[in-house]
Amino acid sequence: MKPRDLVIQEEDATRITQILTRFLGDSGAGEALLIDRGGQLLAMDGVSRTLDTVSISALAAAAFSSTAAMAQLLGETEFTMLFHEGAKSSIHVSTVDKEAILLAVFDERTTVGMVRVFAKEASRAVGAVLGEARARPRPAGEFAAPLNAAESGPAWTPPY
Amino acid sequence: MAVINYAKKIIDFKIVYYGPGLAGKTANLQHIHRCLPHDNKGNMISLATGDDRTLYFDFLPVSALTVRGFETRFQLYTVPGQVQYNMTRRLVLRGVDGLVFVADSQFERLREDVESLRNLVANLREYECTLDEIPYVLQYNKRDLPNVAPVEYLEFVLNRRAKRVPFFEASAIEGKGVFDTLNTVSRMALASEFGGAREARNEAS
Amino acid sequence: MAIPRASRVRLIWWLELGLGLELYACAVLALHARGLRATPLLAAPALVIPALVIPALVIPPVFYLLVGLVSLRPFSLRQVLGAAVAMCGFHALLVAATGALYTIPDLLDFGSAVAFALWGSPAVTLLQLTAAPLVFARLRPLLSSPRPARRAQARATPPRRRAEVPGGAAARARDAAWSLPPREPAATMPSVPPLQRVLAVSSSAVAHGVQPVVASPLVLQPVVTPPAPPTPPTRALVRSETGEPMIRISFGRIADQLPVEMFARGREGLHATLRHGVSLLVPRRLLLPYLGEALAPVKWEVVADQFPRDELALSHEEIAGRLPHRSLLLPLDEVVPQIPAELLALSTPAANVYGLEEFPPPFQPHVPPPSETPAVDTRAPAEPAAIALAEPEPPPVSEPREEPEPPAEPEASAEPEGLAEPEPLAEPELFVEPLAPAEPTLPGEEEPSQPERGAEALADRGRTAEARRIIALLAPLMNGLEIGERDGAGTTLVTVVAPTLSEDSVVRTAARVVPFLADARLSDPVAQATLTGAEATIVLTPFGSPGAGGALLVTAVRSRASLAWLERLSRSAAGEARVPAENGGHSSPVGDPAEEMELRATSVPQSVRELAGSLTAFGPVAPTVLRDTAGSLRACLFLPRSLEAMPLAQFARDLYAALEEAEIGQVSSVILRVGAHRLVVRAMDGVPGRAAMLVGGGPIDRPGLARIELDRAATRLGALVRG
Repeated sequence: MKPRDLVIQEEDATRITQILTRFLGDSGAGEALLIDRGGQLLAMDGVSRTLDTVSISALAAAAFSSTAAMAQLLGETEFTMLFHEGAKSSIHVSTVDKEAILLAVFDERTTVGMVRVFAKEASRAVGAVLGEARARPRPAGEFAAPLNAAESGPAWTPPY
Repeated sequence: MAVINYAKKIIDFKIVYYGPGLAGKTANLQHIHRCLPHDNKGNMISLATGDDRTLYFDFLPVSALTVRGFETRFQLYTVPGQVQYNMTRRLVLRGVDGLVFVADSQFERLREDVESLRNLVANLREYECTLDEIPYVLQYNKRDLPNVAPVEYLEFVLNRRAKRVPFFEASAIEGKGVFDTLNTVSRMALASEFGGAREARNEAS
Repeated sequence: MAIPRASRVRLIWWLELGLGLELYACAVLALHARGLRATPLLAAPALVIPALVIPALVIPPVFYLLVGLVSLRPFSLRQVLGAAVAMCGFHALLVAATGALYTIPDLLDFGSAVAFALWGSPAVTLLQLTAAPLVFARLRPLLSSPRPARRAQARATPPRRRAEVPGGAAARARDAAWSLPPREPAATMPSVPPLQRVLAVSSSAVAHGVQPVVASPLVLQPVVTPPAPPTPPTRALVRSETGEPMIRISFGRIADQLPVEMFARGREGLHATLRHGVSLLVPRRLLLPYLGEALAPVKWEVVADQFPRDELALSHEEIAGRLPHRSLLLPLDEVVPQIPAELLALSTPAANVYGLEEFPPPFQPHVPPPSETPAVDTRAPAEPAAIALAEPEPPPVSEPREEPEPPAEPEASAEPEGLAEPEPLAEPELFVEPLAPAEPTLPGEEEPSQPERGAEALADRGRTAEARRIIALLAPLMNGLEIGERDGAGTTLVTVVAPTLSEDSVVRTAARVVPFLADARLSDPVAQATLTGAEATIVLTPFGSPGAGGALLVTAVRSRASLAWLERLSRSAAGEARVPAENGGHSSPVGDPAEEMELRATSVPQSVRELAGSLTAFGPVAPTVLRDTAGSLRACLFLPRSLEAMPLAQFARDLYAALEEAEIGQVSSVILRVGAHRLVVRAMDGVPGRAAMLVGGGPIDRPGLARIELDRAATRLGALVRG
């Protein structure tokens, strides 16, 4: 059975953003990305510079998945946390639930321990929101009715 | 698994290009990346070995259509085709919303195409999913080479499931057939998202 | 008369057999002519002389047993015994036949003649010993070929192939087919080379009979053509004797799968099989089940007999054991072209793909835009033909999609000639109409002199034509758009309005905004303004360069569907200037300076900072909060560092003031394209009286998202303002 799509309503997005904002404030991390394990970016906070969040999401999900596969080969279910240290920036990736992970980018203003502690809490909270979103029946409004020609159009027009 | 974000009015789809090694999956993405305008693509990421064999995946985010106010974005992935990277292929397949099977049309590579297709079905089974549930098209690549099998035979070998899916003849290195393939599989993914109710109604009636 | 090939071959073999027997008879009669007589002594059946009889009865079976032992391969005791028995039988028949021959000249009774034929003459016995094995060798394949076993069929096919080879030099011809030098078989064979070879390849059934025994070669079939080389590209249907379709594969294509040690002559033997023209034949039905797996395997046993036994150093069992899965893999590029298309046709239904046609193809390869700048003007001519202007009818849907015609219009526009120019280009009634309203609606431009007026009129037509083009392009989305030309605030407004809206309201609302489009407080003139009201959305786009004071394209629709597209179309229709106009085009601020409220920048609350971070569509922005002297929040701006907050705040307030109680209803937001930036201006919620403004700005790619985010920000900030 193909997995159901994930629908993030406005209130879900708001709640998740609030959780991420609080997480950043508490942990001192700079940026937080909530990423689906298939590589799609679900939510983010704190990203002020021109970060290629799309690529980072895909790579983070891939990295996490590959370490999870390694873990299974070692007899573990998965590694629940990844930490990669850089010269200035470091990343901390942790599981939210079976379908999502949380990536935090931080620098010397905080420590991995702080990030880890608050990431756990944030993951739990975000996981609850995602669980509710998944459990909700699929809204029939937007997509159920047949499309007419006016409803789909190019997001860009080719030059004439 | 598409991600529908009402807050940002975005729907994200994941399209995976599957196939045996050196079939032309990466060439497809490279051509798409070359030919799309800047506004409609992101950075292409290629995790490859020194001799340009895909090691983990290639990744290219593209967007083009707005449907009912939602921007639709497609994340294009390729898998490593070499036999030993099966675990990686399985990881990349996670959450797939559309599949392109890129087959090497040459006679001597047909057996690998068959094995790769079998491998795809097995990997999808790990996610409790079947090929019939996912928008899926076939691309018969390398049609420019001399010793290629006729399309009838390729269909006979690769398109023999319960339902025949659309196929495209292509030469990815020359760019032929690449956009036809992408346009169809992306529209199939869109139709499965937006037209699902109609299909259910049709089948119910 | 077309005799099937297989039958022809059998016919030839029978003829050979018959002729061979006839030769035997001639030889016997020749002996008789030379003086051999059946004497009563020798012919006495009752008088059994052991010295004569015993050898005559013992030697033939022993001899035939030895022949079978030496020549039959693969070795099987049962087969040897069977062959010996058969040959003894033939011997007996020959004896009987010879006896019959002797009855006439020698006037003996049959029994005596037979006895004589059996032991009466060593010469006759020798003839019989020679003839019996040869008859057996020819008769065996003739009798065994109808058997349905694959082995027999495979065995049968090479004989057909070899039948083409001339009978007389059979051994040499066969050697030629296998590319073996003639003398070598003699070296490897025992004393009777032709005989042995016949027996050795009896399963291959060489196409010669008893001819080698006779000195003069008997060329029965002058067919010398070597086997045709395999032609994989053509689907030449190869059939076996029984009519079964066969697949032909040249040996060279499977040679690398054969273990070298299987050949008696090693590599030389292997290479010998690779000569041009030598091919393997495989029944097609054996391959069909595997073709769907892109495989074409064939068991060794099926093709084993097509290899000359005397060339093989191993038994078939041993060879099969050395092949993967005891099979050879045939090359698909030779097999597939020989498969008829109907066998590869799939009967499964095509997958139902619902709803594809509802989506335009999402991705198009990028084509560099055409280099000529007046690209917009060149596309006017053909479109008007599709539009009904005088009558407010919905324009036809199909035609607007046509490609633009060659540019005749701009040529007319370029030359300041008479007004009659455009008429040959399009239907006259369509062109005449807009000229009439054009004149009375240009009150502000009566000053220009006549030639300029003429040029102006032509330019009007160009703009009108552009407006028509927009209608044509929008027709599938929004039927029944109406075009008009009005004056608003001293500027010509070319209007394209949805029929459900009041053109008057639209024009009046647009006129309120016109003076702000070149406001000095903006860094650049406004290239496009989008007003979102309760009842309508209006897009204002200046023709030509912004701030040049030219006409304005005003498009108004009811819903927000395809708004981005409408904006783009308007811009391309109006000839979007890539470079902003120089500041000289700016007008002075509209608001009375004396009435401007004094605003001061104050500290930014944390909540506002957080909001700034959430405005992802605007890029990196810094928040500014402006309060009046009384301390009430009057403006909150989220702008990049390159834009100054204070003048924009004043501008926004003045713009909103001008739009108060607009004819199209309350305006909820205004989006302005200013240079490389977009400004989103809206009032904050829940504020009585003169509204506090919220302005977001930056290089926005997604105005829809920007508007949503600003809406949310407005909701949050509303609480802040009230509190």
